[in-house]
Amino acid sequence: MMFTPRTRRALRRTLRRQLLPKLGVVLFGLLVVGALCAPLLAPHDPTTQQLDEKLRPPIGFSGQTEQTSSQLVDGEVKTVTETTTISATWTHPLGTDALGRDMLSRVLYGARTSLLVGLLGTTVAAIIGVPTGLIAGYYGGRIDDALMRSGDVMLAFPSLVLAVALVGLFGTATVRIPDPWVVLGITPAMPAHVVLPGTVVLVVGLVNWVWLARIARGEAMGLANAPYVLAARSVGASDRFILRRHVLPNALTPILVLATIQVATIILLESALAFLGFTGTTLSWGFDVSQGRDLLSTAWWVTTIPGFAIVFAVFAVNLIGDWFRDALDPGIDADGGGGP
Amino acid sequence: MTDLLRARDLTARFDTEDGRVHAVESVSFTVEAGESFGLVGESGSGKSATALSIAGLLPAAGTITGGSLWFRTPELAATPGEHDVDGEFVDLTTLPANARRSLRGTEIAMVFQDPMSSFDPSATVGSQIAKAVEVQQRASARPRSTRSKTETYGLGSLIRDSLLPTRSFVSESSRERAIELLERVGIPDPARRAEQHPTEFSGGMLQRAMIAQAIAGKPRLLLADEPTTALDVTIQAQILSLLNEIQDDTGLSVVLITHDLGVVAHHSDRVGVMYAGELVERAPIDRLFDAPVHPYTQGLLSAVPDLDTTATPSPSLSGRMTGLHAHELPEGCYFADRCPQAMTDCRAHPEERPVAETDRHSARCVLTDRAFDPDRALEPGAAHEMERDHQ
Repeated sequence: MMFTPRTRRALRRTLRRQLLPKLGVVLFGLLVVGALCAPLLAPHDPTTQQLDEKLRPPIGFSGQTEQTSSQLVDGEVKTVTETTTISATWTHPLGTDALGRDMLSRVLYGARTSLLVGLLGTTVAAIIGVPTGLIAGYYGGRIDDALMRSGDVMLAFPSLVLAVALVGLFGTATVRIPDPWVVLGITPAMPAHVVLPGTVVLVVGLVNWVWLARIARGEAMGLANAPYVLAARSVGASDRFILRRHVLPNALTPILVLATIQVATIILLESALAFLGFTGTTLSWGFDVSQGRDLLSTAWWVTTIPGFAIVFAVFAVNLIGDWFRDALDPGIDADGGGGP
Repeated sequence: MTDLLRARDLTARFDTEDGRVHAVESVSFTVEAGESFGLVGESGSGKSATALSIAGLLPAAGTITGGSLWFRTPELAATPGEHDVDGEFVDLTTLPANARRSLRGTEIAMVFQDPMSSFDPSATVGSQIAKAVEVQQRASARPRSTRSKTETYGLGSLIRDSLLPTRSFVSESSRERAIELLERVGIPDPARRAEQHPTEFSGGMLQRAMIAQAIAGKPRLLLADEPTTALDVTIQAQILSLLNEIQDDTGLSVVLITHDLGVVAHHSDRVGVMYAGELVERAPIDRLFDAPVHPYTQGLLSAVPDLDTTATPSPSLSGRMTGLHAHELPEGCYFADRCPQAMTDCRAHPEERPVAETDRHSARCVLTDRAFDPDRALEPGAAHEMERDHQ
C-alpha cells in the first residue's frame, strides 16, 4: 500500500490535533469540488460574451466606465467622455470582464485547468524524476553522475524560455477531454470540453523533475546500504526488484511531501504560462489576469479575482503539503509543539 | 564426505579513501556437505568479508582480487560459459553477476547479524519470505534466469506497484509456503504472524523469520554471519539449536561466523580462526580446543572466562590488531607484535602449514614445525621495532 498503517495513523493524528491541516483539507476540498462540479455551479457559460453586461463589478462594489465618443458639435469634431456608473447585480456575483463574461463561472472553470495541470504536471515530474533519482542513488558512481548532471542541465534552462521553445516546437498540443456532465446530459453544453494544455504539462514536468530526482536520490543512497537490501540480495533478488519493492516504498514519504508542495509551484507556473498566452485555452486564471491588466485602474476585479483564486489554490495545496510534512517527517514534532 | 565449497587463496581488497584495505588475505578452507564450519576472530579480522565474498555481496568498494571459490554445482558445471570448471566444481569468482545472483538463495543463502534491520519495515514479514520462495521457484523453472515472462519491471509497473497493495505481488501458493516456513522455524501462529510487519516481531522471532527466508530457496550452503550476536543469551541458544535442527533435516552446510568461541564449540564440526584477514589456524573442533598451535588461538581460548576456576583470564592478548591498510601491515607475521612466543623467525611472513601428521589441522605459524625457543624470543611488542631495524 502507498502508506503503511503507521503512516496513516500519523496523518490522522496530525489532522486531528492541528488547525492548519483541517483548513487545508477544507480549502482543497472546495477547490476540487469547484473544479469537478463547475458546470453545475457556474451561473453562466464562462465563454459567452455579453457586451451589454460588460465590466459589472462584484457584489458590494460599484464600477465606472468611461465612454469616449466623437460628436460633431458646431461643425467641429469633439471628443466627449461620458462616465457611467455600473452597479453590481446578483446575476453576476463576481462581476464580468471586459467582454461581459461572468467572472464566477470563469473562476470555477479556471480551477479545472489549474488543478489538472498541477496534478498531471507533478505526475510527469514524478514519472521522470523518481526513477531517475532512485537509480542514480542506488547505483552511485558514474550512473549517478550522468543522471544528476543531466538534471543540472535541465535546471540551467529558465523555465519560461523552455516553455516558449517547446510551444514553438510542438504548438500548444491541447487535448480536449469531453466534459462528463455534458456527455451525460446533466448540464447544457456550456464549454463541452475540458481543455488540457499538453505542452504546458510537459514543460512543468520537465522543469520540476530534477527536485524530485534529488530527493529520491538522497533516499536511495541511504537505502542502498540498508541491511534489508543486503538481505534481499542474499536471497537472489534482482536490483530492479529491490529498487521497486524495498527502495521505492521506503523513499516514498519525503518524495510525496515534496510532490505535494510541487503541485502548488506548478499551479503558479501554469498561471505564468497562461498569462503569457502559452496554454492554448482561455479558461485559465493566469489568462484572466493578463486580460485584466489594462483595466486595472477602472475594473480591478478582472485581475484581482482570478489572482485571488491562484493564491487560494496555492495556499490550500501548501497547507496539505505542510500537513504531510508534519505528520511524516520524523524530525518534526507531530503535535506541532517544539521538540525537546 | 564430499566437499561443497573449496576456498583457495581467496583474497579480497577494499578501496577506501585512505588506501587499499587487505580485508581477506589468501584464505583457504573447505566446507564439506552437511557440515558446520565455524569462522572465528575478532572484529575486523575479515570473517564477514570472507562470507560476503562467497555470497558475491561485497560492497561496491570491495573486490575479490585473487584466489578461487570452487563450489560444487554439477548443473552449472555442465553449462557452457566463460566460467572456470573443475569436474563438478565451478569457480564462483569467474561467474558473471547474473549467474552469481541466480545462485543466491537457491544454492547459497545468508543470515545476518541484525534481524531487526534485515527486514524491510514497509512490508509484511510473510510477503518478504514469500518473495524469497518465488525467487527460488523461478530459478528452478528457468535455471539461469530468475526473471519470468509474466513479471516485467518497466516504468509503468514501478508506478503501479507502488500504489497497489503489497499482497498482490506474491502468489497464493508462495504465501502458503511462507507460512509453512515460518512454522518450520518455530514461530507460533504463523498465519497471523505472516501478515505482521517486522516492527511487531521480537528480535529472536525475526531471526527465526530470517532463517526461514534463507532456507526458502532450499540452499545447500548457509552463511550465518554472527546470527546470534544481537540476541540475548537464552534466545541465542534457541537459534543455534534451530540451525542444528535444520541442518540435520536438510543436510545443509553452514558457515557459522562468530566471535564467540562458545558458539562454535557447540555448533561447529571444524573451525577456522581469522586474524588480520588471514586464516591463521583451522582444525576439527576438538583439536582446536585441545591442542591449539597458533599463539593467537591459544590466547583466544585462554581469554574465555572459565567458571570452574577463580583464575582471571590470561592477559596474553594485549595490544590491538594491526590496521589492514597496505602501509600498516608489517612485513613479517601480522601477529608477531602481540605474540608472547614471537621469535626472530617471525621476521618472515609464515606460510600456512599442516600441523604434524594430520592434514585436517593447519596453522599459519612457525610453531607448526618447531618449538618456541626462548633464546630467540622477541620481547612482546618489539616486532615492529625489529622490522624497522630490518629495513
